[in-house]
Amino acid sequence: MRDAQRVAAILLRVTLWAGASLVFVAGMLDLGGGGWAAVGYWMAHIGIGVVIAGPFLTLIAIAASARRPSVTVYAMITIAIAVAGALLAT
Amino acid sequence: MMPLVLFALGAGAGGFGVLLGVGGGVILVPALVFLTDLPFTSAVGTSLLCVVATSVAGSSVQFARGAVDARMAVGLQAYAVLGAVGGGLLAPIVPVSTLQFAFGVLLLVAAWRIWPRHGESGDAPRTPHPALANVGAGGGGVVASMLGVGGGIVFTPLLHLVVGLDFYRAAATSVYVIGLTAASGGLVYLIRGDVVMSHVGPTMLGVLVGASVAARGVRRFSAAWLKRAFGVLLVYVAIRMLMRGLSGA
Repeated sequence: MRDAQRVAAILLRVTLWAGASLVFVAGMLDLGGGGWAAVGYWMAHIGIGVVIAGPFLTLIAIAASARRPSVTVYAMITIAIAVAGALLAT
Repeated sequence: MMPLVLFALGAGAGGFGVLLGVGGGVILVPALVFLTDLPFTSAVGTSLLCVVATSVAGSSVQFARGAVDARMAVGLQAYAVLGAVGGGLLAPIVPVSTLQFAFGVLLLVAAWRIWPRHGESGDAPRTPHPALANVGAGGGGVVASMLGVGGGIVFTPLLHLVVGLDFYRAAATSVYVIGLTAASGGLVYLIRGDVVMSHVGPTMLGVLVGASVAARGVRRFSAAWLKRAFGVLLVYVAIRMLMRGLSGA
């Protein structure tokens, strides 16, 4: 579980920096107006998507490295319900 | 000027969220509505995405320190998500005002129990009741989906008072747990287009900065001080719930 925690920390740090960078650049492009603003709009979506991916990737990493099967089962149930719920709601 | 206001708001909410193990939505939603005239639905969507940012920024530091009880978090997440689905199914049957009143009373009891007693160090673990924690997480999911409250207000006291984690560890684990539930909820708002991108960007960047700083400095605050702050937050949310429950809103 300690290895999983290290991997989780790295994954979250990567998604944090990648997402924050994209959102920041998107904000700068938005100030440019016109076509740049349109690019910034979509870049902000991608940046937010990267941040949202963080908790899911972390859970997958914990599930993959867990020695106890119950942890893996819990993680799979959680991801399945969370994704299905989000898709059904949209 | 507005991006700077949103950045500062996000930084405050992110820092507050990580210190107490809540998402910060209790600050963000009303502030976004009153300060920026954002429609309530867009404010909730923006807030949910910022809660994810709080969770990612806070947990990236707390996981590296080993402060998150990952095994417990994964179990609670599963029960909370199941509870949230159950809450959606129960919503047409159970009268919301009754649930609001009952939840308000429960929060007042939690505030009384979490308030540090005279001479108590503030972070002393309680007698653990792991099985009760799963029931509590499911109940937290039901309440979150039916009453629209964040999970942190349930998970931090649950992890501290029922599971027996010390307050720092309870708050760190709670911040991680609420990230996934907020991510699935935020995704819905993002796909539906119920999010104003010009507001999300600066607020989220502020949250990332505030949450990262707070996660590094959380141990500078005594557990007793954090528990008092959390107790005040519980009483605030409890009063809001009781008033809504009594008015039947």
